[in-house]
Amino acid sequence: MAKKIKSSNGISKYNRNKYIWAYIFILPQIIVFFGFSLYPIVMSYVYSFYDWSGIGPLTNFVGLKNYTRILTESSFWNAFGNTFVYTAGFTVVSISIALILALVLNNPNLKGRGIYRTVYFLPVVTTMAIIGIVMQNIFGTQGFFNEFLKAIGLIDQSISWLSNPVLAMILLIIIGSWKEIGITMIYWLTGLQMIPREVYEAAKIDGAGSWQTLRYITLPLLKPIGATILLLTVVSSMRVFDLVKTLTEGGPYFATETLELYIYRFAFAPDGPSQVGFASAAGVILGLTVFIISLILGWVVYKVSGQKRKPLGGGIK
Amino acid sequence: MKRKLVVLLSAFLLLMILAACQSEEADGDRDEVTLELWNNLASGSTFFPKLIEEFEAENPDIKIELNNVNVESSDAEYQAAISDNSLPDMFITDAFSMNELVDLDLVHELNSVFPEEAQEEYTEGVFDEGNTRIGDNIYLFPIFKGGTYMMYYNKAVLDDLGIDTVPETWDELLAVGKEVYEKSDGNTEGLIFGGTSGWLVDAFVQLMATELSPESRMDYVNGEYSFNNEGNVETIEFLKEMLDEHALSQLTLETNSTVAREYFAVGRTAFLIDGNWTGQLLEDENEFSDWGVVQLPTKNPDGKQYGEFGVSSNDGMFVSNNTEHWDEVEKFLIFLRDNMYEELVNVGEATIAKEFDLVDGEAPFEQIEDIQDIFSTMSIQVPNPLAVNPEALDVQLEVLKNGPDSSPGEILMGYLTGQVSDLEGELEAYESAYNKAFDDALEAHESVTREVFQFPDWVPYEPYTEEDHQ
Amino acid sequence: MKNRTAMFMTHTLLIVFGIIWIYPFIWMISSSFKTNSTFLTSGINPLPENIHWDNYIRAWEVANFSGYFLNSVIITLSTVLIVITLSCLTGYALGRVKFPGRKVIITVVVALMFIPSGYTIIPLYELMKMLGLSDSLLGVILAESSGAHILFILLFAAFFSRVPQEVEDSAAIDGAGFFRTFAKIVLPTAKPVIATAAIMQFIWTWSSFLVPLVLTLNSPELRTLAVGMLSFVGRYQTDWTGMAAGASISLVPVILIFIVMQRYFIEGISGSVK
Repeated sequence: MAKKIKSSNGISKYNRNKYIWAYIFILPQIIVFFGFSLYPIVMSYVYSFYDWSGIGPLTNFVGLKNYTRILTESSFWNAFGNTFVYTAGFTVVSISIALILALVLNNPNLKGRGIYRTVYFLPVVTTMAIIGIVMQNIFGTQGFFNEFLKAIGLIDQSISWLSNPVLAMILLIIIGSWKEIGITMIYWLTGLQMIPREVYEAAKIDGAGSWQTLRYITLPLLKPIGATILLLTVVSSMRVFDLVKTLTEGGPYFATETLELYIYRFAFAPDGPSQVGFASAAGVILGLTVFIISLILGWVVYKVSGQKRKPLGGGIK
Repeated sequence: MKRKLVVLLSAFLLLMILAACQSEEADGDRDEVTLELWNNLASGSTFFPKLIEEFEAENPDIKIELNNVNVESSDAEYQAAISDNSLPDMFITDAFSMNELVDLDLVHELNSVFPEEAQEEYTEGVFDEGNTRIGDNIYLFPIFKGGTYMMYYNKAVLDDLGIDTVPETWDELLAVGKEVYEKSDGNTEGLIFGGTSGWLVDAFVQLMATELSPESRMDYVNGEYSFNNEGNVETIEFLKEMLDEHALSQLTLETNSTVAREYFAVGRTAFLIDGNWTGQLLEDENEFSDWGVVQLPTKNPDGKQYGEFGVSSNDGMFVSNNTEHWDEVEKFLIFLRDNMYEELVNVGEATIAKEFDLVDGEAPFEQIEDIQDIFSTMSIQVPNPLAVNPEALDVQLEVLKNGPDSSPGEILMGYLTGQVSDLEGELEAYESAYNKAFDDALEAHESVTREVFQFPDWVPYEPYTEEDHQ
Repeated sequence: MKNRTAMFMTHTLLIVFGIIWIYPFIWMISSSFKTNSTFLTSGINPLPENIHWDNYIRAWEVANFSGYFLNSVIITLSTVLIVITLSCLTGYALGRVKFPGRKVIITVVVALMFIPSGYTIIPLYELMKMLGLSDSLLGVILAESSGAHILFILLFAAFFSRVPQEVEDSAAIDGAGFFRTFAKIVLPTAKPVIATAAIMQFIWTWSSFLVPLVLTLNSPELRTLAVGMLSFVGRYQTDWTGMAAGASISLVPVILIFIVMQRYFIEGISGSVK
C-alpha cells in the first residue's frame, strides 16, 4: 500500500513538473491573446446592437434592428451573392492551376526549380493595393492587354474589361487567383513531398505509365491535404477586400461589390454619416457565414482524410 | 540557445528604450507652444507651410505642426482621435458634419475671430445658420464657399483638328464630340469624366438636371424629394447617346477623376467635366496650360442651371474644444483670416469664402476669372430648413443614413454600362425609397414638421436670402 | 530523347508563363523610371525612353521613405520574433505534453481560427491608448503580434508531436530538464517550421496597413512603408510613378527574405504534416 502511493507520487511529481512547464509555455500566448485581441473582437459584436456613427458614447441601443435592416436590403444580398461567385471562381481556378504548377515543379529532374518557384511565388509577397493599380492600367480600355491583343490581331476593338459586369468579375477572379496561386502551390508541393518515394517505385515496377501513376496514385494520396487547401482557400477568399477596393471599387454598378467592401462602405462612408453599428452587424453576419461554411468544409475534410490522419496540424493526438 | 536569448532580450530592451525616447521627445520645450493642424485639402500642403512660416516669424514662441492627412484614411484617423479625445488643436475634415461635432461638444466657438466687421468681407450667406454657424455661435472657420462643376476644353486638341466651336448646348457637344472622334480616326475622343468617382457624377448630373427640373433632388415648394424627373431622365439619356455615338469616351466608365484629368491633359479627349479646383490641378500637377473652361452644356440654348450654395465641413477649419492653447490658436486664426485668402488665390483657388474682389492675391493662371464667374452664376442660395428649425438637420441626417443605397449618379453609370435597362423605373424606386425614409424621419422627430421643408414662395434660379426666410 | 524533348517543352512553357506571370512587376519597375506624363501614354512598350531616378529620390527623401523603411524593419522583425516565440512555445506545450485542460485549449484554439472579427480598429486603438502605447513603435508591434496565430501554433504542435519520445527520454537521462530539452535538443530541429512561420508573418506584417496607420496617428514619423504609400495618393491627384518607385522599394526586402528562406519553406510545412 505504502509502496504504491510512493510510486504514483513519483510519477505525478514528474508529470506535474512537466505540466507546470507546459502552462508556463502557453501563458505568454494566452496573455497576449486576452490582453490584445479579445477586447476588440467582443466590442465589434457589441457595436452591432447600437445605432452608432463611430464617435461619441454608445447610447442608442437598437437591439436587432441593424440585423433586420440588413437582411431586407437588396444591396446586401447582391454583395452576398457576389462574394459567393468570387469564392467559387477563385477556389476552382487557383486550386487547379496551383496543383498543375506544383506537379510540374515537383519533378526532381527539373533544373532551376528554385528559380521557377520564386517567380511563381512573387505575386504573393506584393501588396494588394499596388496590384490593383497596376492591373487597372494593364486591363484598361487603352491598357497594355488590349493593345497587345490588337497587335497580334486577336481583336480589333478594345474590350472594356472593367466596365462590363461579367468581364470585371472574371478579371477579379483571375487576378485574385494569380496573386494567391503561389502560396497554394507551396501547400500542394508540401502534399506531394509527403508521398513516399517507394510508392512511385512500386508503381513503376508494376508498369504504370506517368498518367496512370498520377491518376491512381498521386491524386488519391493528395486528397487529405487537398481538402485542407480547399478549406483555407474558401475561408480566405470570402474575405476578399483590398483587390476589389483598388481594382473595381465594387463596380460597375455594384456588380463586383463583395461583403467586405459593403461593410467598409458603411463603416467609413465616403459621403454621408458613418454607420459603424450597421457595418458591425454586417461584419458579424459575414463572420457567421464563414464560420458555418468552414464547419461544413471541416466536416468534409474530416470525412475525406479519414480518422487516422488529420490534415495540417492534425498530428496532435 | 543562450546567445539567441540574449539577442532576443536585447532586442526587446532596445525597443523599450526606443519607445521611451519617443514619448519624452513629445514633451518638448516649455516656453514654446506647439499647435497641431491636420489638413486634408490638396492645395493645403502648398499654402499652409508658407503661411505657417510667416506666422512663426512674427510669433517666435508659437510653433505650428502641420499634418497632411490623406482623404482615403482620414475617417479612421478622425474616429480614433475623437474616441480618445486627442483631436488636434485645429483640423479640416469631411468625415463629420459641423452639427455632429457640436452635438458631441468637440469643437470650440470662434466668435471672437469673426466680429461683425470681419464678417462683412465675406460672401453673402457664408455666416448663415448651418453653414458656419449654429445658433449664436460660429464654429467653422470658412476657407472655401463650396464648389461647382464645369466643362474644361483642351485648346490644343481643338486647334489641331481645326474645330473652333466650344459647345454650349447638348446638341453642339454631341456634334463636336463626333467630329473629334471622326477627324482623329478614334485617337482622340470628345468628352471624359471620372465615372468611378461617385461624388463627381452625382454632383454634375444634379446640376445638369436643374435646367429642365429645377425641383430636382429637393422640391422646395412641396417639401419632398424628387429624382424621377425630366431633368434626370433627359440628362442620363443624353449621356448615353453621347457614349453610343463615341462622343463620350469609353474610358469614362473605368476611370476616376484623377485619371480622367490626366487623359484630358495629354490630349486623349477634348473635353472634361470636373470641379472648380481642376484648373489649378491641370496647371500644377499636369503642367498643362492650354485649356479653357465653360459652364456645363444645357439642353436649350438659353437654359439655366443652378447649384445649391452651402459651406460644408471640408470647406473650413474647426478648433478642438480640448485645445490647451486657445489664445495662441485665436492669434493664428486671426492671422489666417487676414492673410490666408491671398495665398489661396495665389495658388489658384477660385472659390474662396471671402469676397474675391477684396483679396489681393494674383492667380497663377488667367482662366481663374472664368472659373470664378461660372461659380458665381451657378452657386445660388436655396431655402434652408435649418433657418426655420435647426432640428431639421437631424431629419436630414437620418434620411441620408436610411435612404436608399444607390444614387442618380450610380444609376447613370449603370445605365451607361447596360446594367440598368429601366431608367425611369430605377429612378422611381430610388425616389420613393428616399421619400419613405423622409416620411419615417419626420415621424420620428415630432418637433419637425413637413412645413419646415416647404417654401411656397421659392422662385427657381433666384437666390433665397435670409430676408426671404423672414 | 523523348524525355529531353518533354523537358525542353516544360522549360519553354514555364519560361513563357513565367514572363507573363511577372509582367506586372516588370511594368511596375519600368513605370518607376518614367515621368508622370509619359506614364499613361506609353501603351504597349514597357521600356521608358529615359531613365528617371527622380521618382526614387522623391520617394526616398520627400515622401520620407528612408524613415518609413527603418520603421517597417523594426516593426516587422520584432513582430516576427514575438509571434514565433509565442507560437513555438505554445506549440511545444500542446504537441508534447498531455497536461490537463489540453483538449479544451486545442478546441478553443481551433474555434478561434474562424472567429469572425468585425470592426476592431477603434477598440484596438482605445486599448493601446489605455496602456499608453499609442503613437509608439512598441504599440504597433504588440498590436501586430496580438491574435492567436493558429496556423503557426498548429504547425509547431504537429512538428513537435513527431519528435520521437526516445529523444526526450535520452535527454532526461542526461539530466536535462524540460526547458533544456526544448531549447537545446528539440528546438534546433525545428528550423524549417520557424522559417515557414517567419516568412509568412513577415509578408503579413510588412504589408499591414490599417493597424500601423491608426496607431501612429499623431506621429507621422513612425509610419511604415505600406502606410507611407498613401502619401502619393491625394484627393485630386495621384503621383503614379512615385508610388511605383515606393512599391519597388518596399518589395525588395520581401523578395530577398523569400529567396533566402525558400528552401526551408516547403520543408517547413511538409515536415510538420508528414
